[in-house]
This record gives sequence, structure tokens and C-alpha cells, in this order.
Amino acid sequence: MTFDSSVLCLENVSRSFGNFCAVDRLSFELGAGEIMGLLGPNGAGKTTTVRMLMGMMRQSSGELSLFGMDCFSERSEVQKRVGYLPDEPNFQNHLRGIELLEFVGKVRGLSPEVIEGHVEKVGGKLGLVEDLGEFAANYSKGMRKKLAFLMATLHEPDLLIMDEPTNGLDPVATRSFLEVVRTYVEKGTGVLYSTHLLDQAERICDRCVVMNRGKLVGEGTVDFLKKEAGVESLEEVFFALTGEGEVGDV
Amino acid sequence: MFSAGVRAILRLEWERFRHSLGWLGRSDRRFRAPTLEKNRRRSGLFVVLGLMFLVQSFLMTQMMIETYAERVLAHEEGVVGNLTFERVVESAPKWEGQSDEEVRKGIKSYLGFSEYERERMGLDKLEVDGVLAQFRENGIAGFRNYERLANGEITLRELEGGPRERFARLMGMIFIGLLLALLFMPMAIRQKNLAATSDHQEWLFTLPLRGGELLVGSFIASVLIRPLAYLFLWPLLTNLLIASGDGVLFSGCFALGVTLLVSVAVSGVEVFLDTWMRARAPRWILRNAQMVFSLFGLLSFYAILAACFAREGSFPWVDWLAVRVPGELGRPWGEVLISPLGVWVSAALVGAVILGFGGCFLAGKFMRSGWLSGNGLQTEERGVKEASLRGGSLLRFEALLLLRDRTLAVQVILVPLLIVGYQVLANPAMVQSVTAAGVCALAFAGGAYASLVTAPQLLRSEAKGGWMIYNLPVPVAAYFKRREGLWRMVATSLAAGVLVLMVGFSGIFQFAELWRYLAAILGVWVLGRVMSGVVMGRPKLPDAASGEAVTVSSGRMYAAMLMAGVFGAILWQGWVWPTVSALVIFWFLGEAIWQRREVSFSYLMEPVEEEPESWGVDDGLWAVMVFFVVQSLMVFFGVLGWAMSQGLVLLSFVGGGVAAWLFTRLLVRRKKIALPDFSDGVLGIAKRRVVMETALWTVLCVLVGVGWTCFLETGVFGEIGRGALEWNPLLLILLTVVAAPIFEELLFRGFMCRTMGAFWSRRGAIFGSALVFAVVHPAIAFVPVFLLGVGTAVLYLRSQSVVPGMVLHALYNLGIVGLTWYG
Repeated sequence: MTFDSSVLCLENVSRSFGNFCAVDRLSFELGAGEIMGLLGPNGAGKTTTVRMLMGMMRQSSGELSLFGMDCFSERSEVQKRVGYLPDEPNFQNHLRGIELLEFVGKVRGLSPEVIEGHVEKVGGKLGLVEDLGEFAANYSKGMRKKLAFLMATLHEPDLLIMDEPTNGLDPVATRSFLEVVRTYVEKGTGVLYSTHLLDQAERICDRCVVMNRGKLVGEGTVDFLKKEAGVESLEEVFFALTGEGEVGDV
Repeated sequence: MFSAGVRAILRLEWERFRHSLGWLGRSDRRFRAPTLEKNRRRSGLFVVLGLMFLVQSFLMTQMMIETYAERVLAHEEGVVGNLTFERVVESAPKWEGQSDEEVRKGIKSYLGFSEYERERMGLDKLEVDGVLAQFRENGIAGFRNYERLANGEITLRELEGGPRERFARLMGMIFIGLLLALLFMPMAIRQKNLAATSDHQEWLFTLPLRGGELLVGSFIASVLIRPLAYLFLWPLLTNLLIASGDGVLFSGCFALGVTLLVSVAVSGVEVFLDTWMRARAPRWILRNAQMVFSLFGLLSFYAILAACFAREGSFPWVDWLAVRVPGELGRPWGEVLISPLGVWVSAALVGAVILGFGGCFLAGKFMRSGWLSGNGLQTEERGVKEASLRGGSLLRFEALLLLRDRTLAVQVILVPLLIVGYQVLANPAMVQSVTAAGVCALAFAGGAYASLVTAPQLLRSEAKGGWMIYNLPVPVAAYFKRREGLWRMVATSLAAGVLVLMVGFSGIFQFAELWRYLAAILGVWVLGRVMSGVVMGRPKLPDAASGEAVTVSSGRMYAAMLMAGVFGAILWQGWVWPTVSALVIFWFLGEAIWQRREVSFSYLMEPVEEEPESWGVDDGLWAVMVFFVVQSLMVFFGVLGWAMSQGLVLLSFVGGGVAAWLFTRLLVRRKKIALPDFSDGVLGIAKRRVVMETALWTVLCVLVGVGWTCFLETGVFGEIGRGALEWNPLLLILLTVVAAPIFEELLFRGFMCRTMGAFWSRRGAIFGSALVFAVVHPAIAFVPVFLLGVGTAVLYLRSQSVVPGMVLHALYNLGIVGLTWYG
């Protein structure tokens, strides 16, 4: 299934560390306005894939491109249109939340009014505005996630790459966060959503890619995957594809 | 002896200590966790370095005690130096019947010997008449030798009256300074982030350890792992005991025991302070704790060094303190130090019991009320500071980091300014007598120090927020370069500030030395780039996401210090052309190193994979630097040994060439540079075209060289050329027509031009290599040598062989030498 307006494209991407192959001939695509879940057990190669997409790491072979540009060599050009939310965002010890936002906005060439508007709109929904005067080092995990999300969406990106985005958020924040993500999708932003939370993935993802030991073991809409595996829920699909279901015997 | 929990903590603290000293526990690049195997291998180096330092400390403290004791003894009347004393004893019987005039003559000749010694000890000049009066009054009994302590005629405990009091004050002051340094240096250096709960502590709390075990473990570790105590206090106490007349072995063991007791007392205070701050300290203390410790530690250490090495008079405050504050505070301590052993033991025991165990007891109390509550970065109330936008920028971002990270600000700006400022305010005599050389060296040293301290900061403050940089639409290398420029600006401004301060207060501005003032500032700017590149080197970023501190190899730090030292020495000497040459070479080197850094940035986020072996333009420049450093060192030591000779010049040139050639071979082998061997391409000379071009370039270069020489009426070889007529013709030919073309072509064209050509444009390689080639030659010959550099570089790039260049170079030098002989 190919989208005409593909924003993210992986072709036979592999990445090894010494003899260990973290990602093995991975291929998939993501279109504009689509939410794709990237699923897989621990050590499946999800974070490595995300890091390669962010140009932090070079692939051993294959091709990765965002908006038709190479992720590694054209990283700075690509990053103009990408927002990234890492699993564990950490910040400098000596800067306040608002100062970090100012800094990122300034580097991205945004005016103070734009930053302020964004903080009010998105920060207000997530409930972070009153904490922005605090040193980011003192933030709780959830607050750090929110701040990083504000940073990632500051420039209205065409693609959002998120690693376990709701990890650390409370249920209320999770709900408003997912609402915000949906508004971005409606505006045509593509979202790559790496997660372990299968019910959440089932609820919001248009399509899913399931990885296991660096390999792609399943791809398609949630319904398609369920039908293919002949099961009722995405959770069972996951167990069927990754062979992790036998844990119950222990 | 201890429970398993305490043993585990001791082990853990020891490992942390080893890792905190880069060269001990270097972590394996492949794994984030340091591997034990590597550590063991490195421990050998640790032991050797530690022993070297210990021996040095023993010698230093012994020298210090003798100097002090002799100085206080010399303040008595009728005391002369060792040599004078011996001569007086020898000649006194003859003086009995002689006239004053004759005796004066004799005394004058003896005093000449001891004046240097007296000056070293900071004593007043001896007046001939004073010595004569002493002799007429008391005869030979009126003289005493002030080196009585070194001669074993008197021990410290036998000092009495004024000398005893004075010595006690000085020793007491040094002792107090040392105790402060013992307490605060580790607290400032250990990267204890008191301002935020450290993961380390939190993790320890999750282990099934009793609070008591945790406390005992930390306490014992803190007592045992205190390098300053073993490397400075122990030698000092041992030497004090030896000077007091005790046996060497006994003194060593006894002093070790007392050192341990002192360490117990200091650790008690430290554990108490640490726990108290985490649990109860007001926020402003927490926020500034590290800065304050850093300030106390550095200043007390500086004070000890100044007190130990300064001559009387050059540091007036040492005397000022010795008379006033320690008169009340230091004397009792000093009295204890030179009193009988029982007093030592009781004082150390009482101190250890009260401070050590009292501190631990209080710490235990605080711990029960919550050790982990401290959190200094927190504002008074959450969110109370209004979140307002003021338009951030990279500059503001960095300025904020510098101002908020007060430890860094103190280390970078405050301490250098305090030290210089103190000299300016407290020691006006020194400032007024300072020369342009001194001002420039001081300004450069201040700036170089600041760049050294800030260079690791480039990465360190990024460690936590590193991922953000990768999410910004800017090239990572450009971002780091920009930050590097900003930090370099801080260092350069500091140098400029020191310069203005010193010139302003001394009122001495020498217009003729303007170049030197500029070179000092420019030197910080140019060298700062090299230093940041060298220090960053191939950084080991443990884990960008975890926020672990970045470690920078200490070997690289030493290399950067060495380079700054070399430039400072050149500047101090006031050698114009070497300064200019060094600036040009360092500028190129900075460019080249940062070009290479761009490669490593891509691998920063990927610490598990090693940066590929790479080579760059800087390799060629390193080779050139080795050539000149070896050459200069050989001349320097050669002159010390034999005096300057023609043979020495030739020898140093060949020596430098061979060293640089071996160095390039090493680089080629180690970095696996895929370069053709130097001997390759020799066949290129067979090509008729190359022969033609070589001939054309030779004619052009020789004509310009000869014309230049005639025009300026001076030898193109500078001093050597001017003195060429006195040179042995064979040596001159060997140097200029054989050795110079071979080594210089191999280095400048075979390696430097080649590495430049692989990374820069053809034109850049030709002019870049020619420029470096020209600046390392005498200034007067700049134009013809630059042309020669261009010619040989063109020939090299066309033929891929150094041989045509060697021929051109040899013929050119022959032409100039011939002109000097027959012209």
C-alpha cells in the first residue's frame, strides 16, 4: 500500500553493531496525515530505527528518506519539517522550560509571537504553562515529555516522530495529548508512533508496523493484521507475530 | 571487619574515584560501562604517577621547611651564610691584628658568595660595616651560620623565642590552608551536584542497606580516599618530624597515623556538611555550594603554593597574614606541629574524635530527617517566576549557562581575576615593576587557562540536552563551532581585560611592544580554537540520553597545556617572527582540527561505535610542528651544553627532520592513511615535461631570490646567511643544499601539501603549504621563500613526487649561498 504523498520511506534498511544486527532489511512507508504505530518487544530495533530516521546514526545499508531527502546527509534540511519526541527527554541543568523553548524557536527562526501563541495553545491544553518558569531539570518525567512535545511541534512539522510519547503522562494528560496529536493529523501531519501500549495503538493508529529482532514481521491496518492472524485484538496479533505468547507457561 | 554492605560501598566509591581521574579508569569505547580489565592495566600508570608525585612532595616540603627555618634563624643578629661562616672561622685569627680597612676587604670578598643565598631566602643585604662591628664586638663568637638546621646543628623543637614564634605562625598558616584545601577541593571537584539530588545517592537508598551502613561506608571511603592528604599532608608532617630530630622510618609511620586522624576529622566535617546541605541547608547555599567550595579550595591551594614558594617581600600578604591572623589563629597550630610527639597525638586524636565522630553523629541525625530532600535549582515556589518571552538566542543561551553554572563562572572568570586583582591591589610594587613581557604572558596565561577550562564545557553542558541539537535544522558541527566561538570570545575578553587592568594600574604602556599586546590577545583567540579541538578530541559521550557527564581524556588536556606553554614562552621571550609563525601555524591547525571534528560529530550520538580512523590536514601540520619543536629543543639544550656552533645547527636540523619523518611514518601506519609512499612517483621525474617545468621554476625562483638579496643587501638565510662567510663551506653546503631540501620537501610537500590537497582545493593546498613554509623561515626572506614554496608545491602536485621539488630547492639554496660567497 503506497501513498502518493509519502513523507517517510525506508528501503531495505539494516543496521548492525559489530556482529549484532539491530535492524534487518526493514522497509515501510508513511503518508501525510497518517498515524503509523511502530510496535515490537524490547530490543526489536524500534529506537535504532527512530535514531536513524533522526539522522543521529547512519544505516549500515539500505535507504532512509524523509520528504525524499536522505536522513543522514541532509539532516539539517530534513529537520526543518520534522518534530521529534524522544522516550526520555533530558534538558540542561541550568535552563528554565521557557528558555529552552525560546532557544529552540530562535534556532528555527520563529518570532516570539509565534512561540508565545504556540505555548498558550498547545501548552495550555497539556497544562504546562504555569510550570514553564521552572528549571527543566526539576521537571517530572511527564512534564519533560510535555516540554519536549511543545518543542517538537513549535514549528508545525509535517512529520512527528514520537518514541513512547504517553509514557509518564497521567490519564488526563494522555487524553489531551492524544487530542492534540489528532488535530495535527487532521492538518496533514504524518505521525510515526513507537509504543508498547497496544490498546492505545489500536485506538489511534491507521496502520501498524510490527518489528521483532530487527525484522519486519507484520504491516498493515489494524483490521488487516487482525484478519491475517485470525484473532480479535491487536494484543493477540502482537503475540502471534512476535512469538511472545508462551510466557504464560512459565 | 566490615559488613558486606559497607564493603560494597567502599568498593563502589573507590571505582568512582578511579573513573573520576580520566587516566585511571578509562572506559572501553565499545561499552558504556567501564570494564574492570582495562582499569587494572591502567592502574600501573597510576601507581607510577602517584609515586612520582609523592617523591616530589617529599622533596618540596623538605625544602620548604628548611628554607623557612633557616629564614627565621637568619633574622638573628650576627648570622651569616654557610660559606661566609666557614671563611670567617678560617680567617678570623688573622684579623685580630689587622686594620679595619684590611678586614673590610676580606669581608667584602666573602659576602659576595652568600649574597645570592640571602636573596633566595628573602633576607636583607649584609652590610660590610655591620659584619665588621659584630666582629669587633664579640670576636668569632659573634657569628653563627644560618644553615644550622640543614647542617643538623639544631632541630625544630629547639627553636626558641622569636624564631620559634615566627616559624610556628608560618607552619600553622600552611597547615590551616592545607586543612581547608583537604576539605573543599574534593567537594568542589567531585562533581557533587548538591543542587539536585544525585542519581547515585538515590540509587544507594534503594539498596537494602541500613542507614548506619550507608553512613559508615561513605565515611570510611571519604577517610581513605583523600589523595591530597597522602600526597601533601603526609610528606609535610614526615619532614617536620625528621627536622625535629626523629628517625626517618619512625617519622614516616607516625606521620601516616596522624594524617589518618586528620583525615578522619576532615571527613567528619565533610560528611556532616554534605548531609546537612542535602537535608536542611537554605536554598541559596545549595545553589552556590559548589561554587563556594571551588572558590575556597582554589584560593586556599593558591595561598599555600604562594606561601611555600614566594620569597619574602614578593607576596606581602604572606607576611601580613603571618604577623596578624595566624598570630592568633596559626600559632597554636604551629606550636603543636613543632612540639613533642605527645602533643601531636593528643591534638590529632581530640580533633578526630570531636570533628570526625561528631560530624558523623550529626549527619546521622540529619539523614533520618531525609537526606534526599535538597533540590537547589528549584525556584522559591514552583512557577513563581513569570514565564515570559524575551527573544532568546544562542548568545543568550550560553550567557545564561555561564551565569547559572556558577562553579564554571568562578573557575573561568573569578579566580583568575581575583589572583591578578589581588596582585594589582596588594602588590603595587610588583605591578609597577612589571614589563610588557610580563603583562603579555600573564594576559595570555589567563586567557589560555579560561579556554582550557571552557573547552570541555562545550560538550559537558550538551550531554543532557544533546538530543535537542540533533532535532534542530542546523548542521551539528556548525552549531558546535558557533558555541566554540562564543566560549573563545569569553577567554579572549578575559585576556584583554587582564591586559587593560595591568597596563592601567602599572601605567606602563610601551608603544614599541604594541605587537606583543596584540599577539597575546590574538594568541588566545587562535590557540583557543586549537585547544578546544584538541580537548574535545574524540569525545566519549557515555549516553546522550542519560545525562551522564562527558569525560575528556586528560592526555589531551596535557597536550593542550603544553601547546599553550610553548606559545607563552615564545611570547615571553619576545621573538617576533616565531610568534607570527606560531600564530599562522596554530591558525591553520585550528581550521584543520575543526574540519576533522565535523566527522566526529556524526558519531557523537553513537558512542558504541568507534569513530573511523581518520586523517586530515592537521596531520601534516603536526609533522611540521614536531620538526620545529625537536629542532628548537635540540638547539636549546645544545646551547646549554656546548654553546652555539655550526655543527649544532646542522645537527638540530637533521635531528628535527628525522624525528618528524619518523613521526609521519607512525601516523601513516597508525591511521592507515592510504597514501603512496614517499618514494613512489620518483619516476615522475623521467617525464620530460616535469624536467622542463622544474628548470623554469628554478630560473624564476633563483632570479627572484638573487634579486631580493641584492635589493635588501642582506642574506636570505637571515643570521646564517649574514654569517655565511664565516661558516665552514662544507657544513653550509650540507645544511642548505643537502639536508634542507630533503627534509623540508618530505615534510612540507610530501606530507603537508599532500594532506592539504586531499581536503582542500588545489589552490588552497599550494598557497596554504607555501604560507606555512614561508612563515617558518626568517621574516626577511618571506617573499622569495613563499615563491619557492609555491613552485615546489606546484611541481609536487603535478608530478606526485617530491624529487623535482628537492632539485628546485637545492638549486635555489645553492644559488643564494653562491651569491653570498661571491657577491
